[in-house]
Amino acid sequence: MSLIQVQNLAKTFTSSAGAQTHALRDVSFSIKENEYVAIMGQSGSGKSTLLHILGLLITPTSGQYILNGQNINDLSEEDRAHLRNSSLGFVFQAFHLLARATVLENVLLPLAYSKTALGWSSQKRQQKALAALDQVELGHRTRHTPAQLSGGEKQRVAIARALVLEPQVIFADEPTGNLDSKTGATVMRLFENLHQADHTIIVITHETITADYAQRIITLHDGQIQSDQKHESKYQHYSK
Amino acid sequence: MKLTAATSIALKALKANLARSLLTVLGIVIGILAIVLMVSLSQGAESLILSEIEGIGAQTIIVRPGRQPEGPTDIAETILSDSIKDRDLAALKRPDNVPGLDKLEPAVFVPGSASYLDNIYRPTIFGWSAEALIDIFDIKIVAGEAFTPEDIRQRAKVVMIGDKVRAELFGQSDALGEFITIGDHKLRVVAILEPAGQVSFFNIDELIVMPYSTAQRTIRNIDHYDELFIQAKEGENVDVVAEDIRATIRETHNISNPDKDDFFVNTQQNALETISTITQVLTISLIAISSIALVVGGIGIMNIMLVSVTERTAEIGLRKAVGATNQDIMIQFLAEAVILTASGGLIGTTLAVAISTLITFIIRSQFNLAWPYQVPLNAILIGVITATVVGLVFGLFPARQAAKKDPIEALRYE
Repeated sequence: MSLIQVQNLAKTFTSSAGAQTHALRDVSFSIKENEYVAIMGQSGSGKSTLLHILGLLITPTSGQYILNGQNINDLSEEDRAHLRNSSLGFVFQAFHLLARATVLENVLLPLAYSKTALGWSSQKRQQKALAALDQVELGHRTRHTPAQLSGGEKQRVAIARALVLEPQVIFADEPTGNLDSKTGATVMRLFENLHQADHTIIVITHETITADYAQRIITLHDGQIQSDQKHESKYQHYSK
Repeated sequence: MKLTAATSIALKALKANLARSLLTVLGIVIGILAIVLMVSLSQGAESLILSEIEGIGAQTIIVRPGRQPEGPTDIAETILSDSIKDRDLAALKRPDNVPGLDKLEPAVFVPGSASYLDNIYRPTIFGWSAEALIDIFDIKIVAGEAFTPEDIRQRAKVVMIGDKVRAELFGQSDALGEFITIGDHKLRVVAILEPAGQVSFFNIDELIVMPYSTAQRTIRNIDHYDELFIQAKEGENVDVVAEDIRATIRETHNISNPDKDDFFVNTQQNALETISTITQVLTISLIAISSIALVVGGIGIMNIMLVSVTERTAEIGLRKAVGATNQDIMIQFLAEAVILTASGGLIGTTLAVAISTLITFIIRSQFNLAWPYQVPLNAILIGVITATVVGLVFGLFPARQAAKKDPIEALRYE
């Protein structure tokens, strides 16, 4: 069964002056559990809009999006927020860490909004956060603040934050965009490890080198799917 | 999200900008300080005045010439009025006119100062009966003898003096039998009063009392009285006695329409009610004025919260991305506003308590008044609750702005 099913998805943005932009048109595909998919395209191709719809941050203008059997169109804003919290993890190009919080506090952030974690003791919360930090090999930097971390470390903290509630899907939006190639490769190897650990990964990128880690590449052009191909990951050896 | 989590997030955010948070809260501190202090001081003043009035005694009725003053313009008319004279005393003393009357003692105030040799002092001087002073105010004499009804009849030039008057005019030397000068007249000191401080609007220690006849005819050369102190008999209804007094004086003055009264009669109950009304109106007016500071403080909070929402746009986007609902964001920013104002309320209330304590100390020590220490619990509650409500009201708009932010736009914000 597909984890994500998208049917005839369309998104149109209307400016305050009334001008319309068709960001996505008639997009259909499905993603199975434990797939590693890269969504590629040039700037303005609609890939970020697609990620935002898949990540439940915005709703489509038309079409259907079914996540794990649930029709997203039927959900309220509050339900979408809870689903985002429990089932989805995000990694952003700009890291988006809270500057004033420590590494541990940043990783604990999703737990503040989790229904599941509501009854957890603070000890259990910390254990979860530490486990996520161990996965990205930053268990020793819990008390540091983002200002004391390198770019790669910041992105690894963001990945730990995405992992802390053990989501079904991890969305990464240009995860290496702010990193040098060496650090970017380290971060991508982390995604590869997560994939090996049965996580579903969806990466948005315009860089071939980043997409090369994926099993499947969906290419968008002018808001439509240009190609949807299986792809042999060139870097699987990193995870071994 | 749990409220405790929202509070914890809010506290961290406020701590991160501590200096700004403290400056923001200053307006609330001043507003709450002003309100709590106003309530505290006006209640203190009310208690003091009420206790002074109660000190006169429940059976006491006071008659004054002129109309009951209803505004500042009436006061001059009341002071200058000379409508209460000997004929009124005679009429009131007739048992068939005022059967409930027990005692009647007229009083005449004497403006000016008193001197002895080169020492000059400006005390409160009035003519009364020694018996009334001793009975009504429960004053004791430490040296000498009180002047007598015979002294009143003969307009004797004798005075009883308070302890401070004695000290100011005579220092360490003996005052009894000495003559002090008031106006062009020399009066002999026949008694010294025991120190008693403030009693029913009079500082007994700063008092010179002479026979009312002396004050009226000899010193001021007038034929009217400034006040009549009347004691109703024990068990008599004071209101009924007061009404008999009104009827008698109206008859003496040929007044048929009570609106044309050229005198007024006050009972202790009347005075208590009047003072309570005045202090309540005063308190409400002062609170209303102080509230302006609170509104200004609230606008300051709203302004800073709006700045904070803009500054933290990316953070709002991130929180939404990791699962925060609009309501969660709203609660978080509301919590920040409420924590700011409630802590302002607490600081303001604490300062008000400290200042109120200081004022009480100063009034008691410098003015020798029995000012009660008043920091009413309701003033503290009003302070903290008002501050919290201000936080909710002025924090609502910025919190809604934060909650309404589009997560995508927020995440793009640099």
